[in-house]
Amino acid sequence: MKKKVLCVMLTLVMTASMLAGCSGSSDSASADTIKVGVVGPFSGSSAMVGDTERKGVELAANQINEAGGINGRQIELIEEDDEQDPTTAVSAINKLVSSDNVVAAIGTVNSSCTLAMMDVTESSQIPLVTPISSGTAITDPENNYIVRIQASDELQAGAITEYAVNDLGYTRIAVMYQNDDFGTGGMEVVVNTLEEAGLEPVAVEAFDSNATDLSAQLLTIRDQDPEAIIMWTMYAAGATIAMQAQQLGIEADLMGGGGLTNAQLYELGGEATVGILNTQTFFADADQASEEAAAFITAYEEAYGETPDSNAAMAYDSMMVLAEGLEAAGDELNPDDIMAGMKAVENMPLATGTITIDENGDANRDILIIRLCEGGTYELVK
Amino acid sequence: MQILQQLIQGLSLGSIYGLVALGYVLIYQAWGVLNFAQGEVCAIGAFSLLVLHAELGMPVYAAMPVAVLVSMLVGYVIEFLSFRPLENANGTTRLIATIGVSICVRNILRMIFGADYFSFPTIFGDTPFQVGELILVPQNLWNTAIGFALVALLNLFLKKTRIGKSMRATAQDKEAARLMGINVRASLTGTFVIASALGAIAGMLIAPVYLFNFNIGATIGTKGYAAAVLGGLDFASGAMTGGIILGIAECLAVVFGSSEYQSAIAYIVLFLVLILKPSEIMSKKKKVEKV
Amino acid sequence: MLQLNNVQVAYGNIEVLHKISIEVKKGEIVTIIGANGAGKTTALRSVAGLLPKKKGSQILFDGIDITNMGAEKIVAEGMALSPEGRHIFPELTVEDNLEMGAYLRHKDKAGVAKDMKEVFEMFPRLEERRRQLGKTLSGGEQQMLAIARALMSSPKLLMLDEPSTGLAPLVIKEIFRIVKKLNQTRGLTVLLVEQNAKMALGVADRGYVLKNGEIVKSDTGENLLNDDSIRAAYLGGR
Repeated sequence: MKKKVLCVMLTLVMTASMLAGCSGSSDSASADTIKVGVVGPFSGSSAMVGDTERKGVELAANQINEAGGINGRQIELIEEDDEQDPTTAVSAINKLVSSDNVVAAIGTVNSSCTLAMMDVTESSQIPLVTPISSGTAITDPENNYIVRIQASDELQAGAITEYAVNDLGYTRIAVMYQNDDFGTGGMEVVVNTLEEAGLEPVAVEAFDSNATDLSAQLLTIRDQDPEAIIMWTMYAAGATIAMQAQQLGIEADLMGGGGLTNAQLYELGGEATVGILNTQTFFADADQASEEAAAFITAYEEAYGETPDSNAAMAYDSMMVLAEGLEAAGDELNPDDIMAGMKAVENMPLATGTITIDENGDANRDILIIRLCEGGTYELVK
Repeated sequence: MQILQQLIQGLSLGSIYGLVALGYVLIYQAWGVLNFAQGEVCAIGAFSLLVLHAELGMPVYAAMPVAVLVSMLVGYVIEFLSFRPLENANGTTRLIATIGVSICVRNILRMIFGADYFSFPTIFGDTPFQVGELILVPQNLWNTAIGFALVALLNLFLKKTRIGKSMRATAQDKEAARLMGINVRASLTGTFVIASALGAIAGMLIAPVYLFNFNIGATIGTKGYAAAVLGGLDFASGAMTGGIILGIAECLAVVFGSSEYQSAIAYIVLFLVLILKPSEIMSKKKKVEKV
Repeated sequence: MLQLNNVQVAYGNIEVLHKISIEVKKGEIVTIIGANGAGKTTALRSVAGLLPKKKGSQILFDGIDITNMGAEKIVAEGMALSPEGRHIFPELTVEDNLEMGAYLRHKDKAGVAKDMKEVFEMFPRLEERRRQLGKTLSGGEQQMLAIARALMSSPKLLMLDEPSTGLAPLVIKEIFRIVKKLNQTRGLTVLLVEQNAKMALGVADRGYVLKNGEIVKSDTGENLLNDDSIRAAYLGGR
């Protein structure tokens, strides 16, 4: 009897955690709309990012539709939740492709989810535009149906390293990276960029992304007395590094990639995180922004009553780049034509800067450097 | 000096691993099964303290004992729902049940607190001070001291008090314990609840030093498990020794080896011990009763 | 003092005790003898409250019905069992083992101390090893510890299950001498289960013969010792 109670309880809990994120999708399809799938983490721990992603795409689609649509046809968005889980992401894209018959898709946030979806979109020849995933493997030359708006880790890691070496004139640079594909990929770019500048990192230390204590690594780094520590990780580990580095009396500048940008970085790490430099594609300051960026910021604030973040901007740009491809593909909407149209984008001024899509589908762009200030606000330093 | 600094760090980390390991050992000795939900009890301790202190505004010294009580209560519920009904089931079934409990607790925490990380205000101070070239953080020193003090207290309790001895007697031979008039049921529950309290305290010591999210139980649970196995799953002293060896090994791995392998150390330890003496680990030998 | 009326015990569907009735009077040494597997240990374990009895069974101890009482409650009524295989606590010291024997007497510190002293006088070997762990003792010492531990609860009835197993003849003799002495000097009532029937009947006032879960004979120890059929079956012939 007691065993049964236990089993029932376990089943209930597991079911509940699975049901935690169910999403609705609109099915009001009409023949002459262009259906575009949108996949994002609309529930779960990254729901905030998913939400801004959706808002960015919707803003762009609404603007396009109000301006008359694409070749006279309206864009219809169909949204699916990936719960930040690769398996769910695959089901989501499968549904969009086979039952909703979308012509193209935008998504998603987490790199492993995007990678998982790419197999489906490639075999069914559906152009996929990923707004936020930065993983190096995504713009794999083998896959012909992917475009990425986010700056790749390669681009970001190169940019922050060059900033440390060229702009700050540092020569003693240590590297810390989380011990997985994402961290190792970033670390390799940093080390290579340093090498090109004739430098060698004074220390290269790995850590487990779940690790709570990083002081052993920091102590080793401290012995080398670096001027800067470039860390390739996400905001939580970034906050840990900042706090423990402060405790150990390390005064080196801390810098890293876009994964550090998160309100939680300052909330968790407090004062210790002030001064962290990281790369970014978008900075929401209408005064310093380009004409296009300023227009986007104004429109977004009008539509949603909040300041857009880089994710919203990249999602917006994703829709805009996809629109170029759809426009070029005419009435047929042949997937190869859509891809060709997107890859023809050159020096296009958008919310996140001037973008050129290269032959692998990667957006080449200028990278911004931002600095975390007192109180958790950011300032643009480059 | 660098080595000494690393040793101090390893000691502070290791004493927490030791506390978690102690929970594994106590339950293993009494129930004959490794409780893989032990790490989750640490998480419960950390989150209870967070809610009581940071959310409800209880003063930290009042919140700590309450958080321990909450964790003991959760421990009791776990014991009641998943240990007691399976008392006569085979070792594998019971082991898997504890894994189920751990997944269940982790998901409940995730549903309540999300996947975000939390930081907890320091209790004993995190402003470091310098002794020579050594940098010491008060909270870390306190953690080490509390870890050792708890092990000493527990040792005293188990070796010197009547109740403590009866718990050890129960763990060693349940039937003989009954023949002494010991309430075996209460003794087993008591052991479980004490183990939960130890786990919770470990979680509460970690909270002010490190960031944590719902997954902290999995991380710390694995370390505690490895430390317990390393210490031979014996009583108090072994668990603490195992914890400290593991903590120091993790720090020294960065100095002498490569930081890439730091997080693998716990698994290497488990791997080696399981290869060298696997039978003792998976389930405590059950006596065959004579008809 | 102890009365078993129609006690039936089964393991699953296999009944191992078929309605046995045994009586032990105050001040007696009573023994149950029988071949291996006859149900002797089962009988003691069911009296001690370690096994559930079937409906219709009744066990009275000192006027109280203990049929459905748990082992830990029965101890409090004044019954102690030194179980087969000794079951001492291997990781506790000799002294702590004895203290556990007196677990329920924690309010009677003086009495416990006095009994501890007496037990050590009875078994000087245990006093020499009082700080050693139980598992470090020899077989004979462990048996002494098991008996001493049972005595520490200050029982009215002491039940001994196979105290001679695996021991050298000299040690067996010593243990039986002590049992007899306890019976004579303190008036301790003893229920003894033994495979070594000769030894057991030698000290017992009365004996029961258990065969396949049934009492087949009961008589005084002396008569049983001289009974030809018993001699043939349990005393190695002649």
